Amino acid sequence: MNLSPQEALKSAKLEPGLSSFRVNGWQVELRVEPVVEAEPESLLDESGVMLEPWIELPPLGPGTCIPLKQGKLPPPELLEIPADEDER
Amino acid sequence: MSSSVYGLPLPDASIDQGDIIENCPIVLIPSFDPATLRPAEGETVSVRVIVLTQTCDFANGKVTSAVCAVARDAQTLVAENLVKPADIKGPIRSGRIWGWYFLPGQTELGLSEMIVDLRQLHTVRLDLLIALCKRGLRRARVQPLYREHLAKHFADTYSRIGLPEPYPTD
Repeated sequence: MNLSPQEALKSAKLEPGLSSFRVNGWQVELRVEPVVEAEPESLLDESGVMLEPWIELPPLGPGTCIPLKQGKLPPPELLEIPADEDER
Repeated sequence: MSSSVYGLPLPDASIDQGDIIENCPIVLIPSFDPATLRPAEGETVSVRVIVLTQTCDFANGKVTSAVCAVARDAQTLVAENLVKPADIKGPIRSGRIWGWYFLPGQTELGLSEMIVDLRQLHTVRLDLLIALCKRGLRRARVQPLYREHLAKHFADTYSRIGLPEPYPTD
């Protein structure tokens, strides 16, 4: 029976780690690690994307100066307040 | 109960959502010239505000201004006959009035019952709020859970979708 190493290992109990051993006069190193699926490449060309998520827009202006005077806060906008259900 | 609603940060503590700050100047444009569409003059009013900008936005240290709402004294609104005590105890306190949020008073902090007007928002420079706090004008900070409750009400104020009329029912 002439198995390839890949076929021979299919029946072996594999655990993550690095092991080294001799087989048929050969020094063999075996590294076992889980398969990490590569993320699919983005279909969008992001080379021009500004990745900084926080962007301040430039300040508005120039403005017009107007005189300010001390004022009074106007009353809040009043909507009809429904009667409390407990009071019905 | 209200003792756990508020905390009082040190004057040099950073600004956070739920901070209640006195004497914050806001600018109003009471009228404008219809011909030029420009305001003839403006008014400044010093009010008690509550900070609404999200904590996470402050945490990244990049915001330069904060969204605030005016926290009005509930008893003043009653005295001006704008709302009735029963309105406050009932629908306003239970959060059933769109755009208004009730906050309880706390004597030790000099806070009477408040109605936060979430319908009218103001953008205030962060350095101005910091300066007010350093002068001891931060009255309190709404604590977690209550702060999130306020934030949810704030979000609902602007994300709600109203129906023209309630669904019919048998």
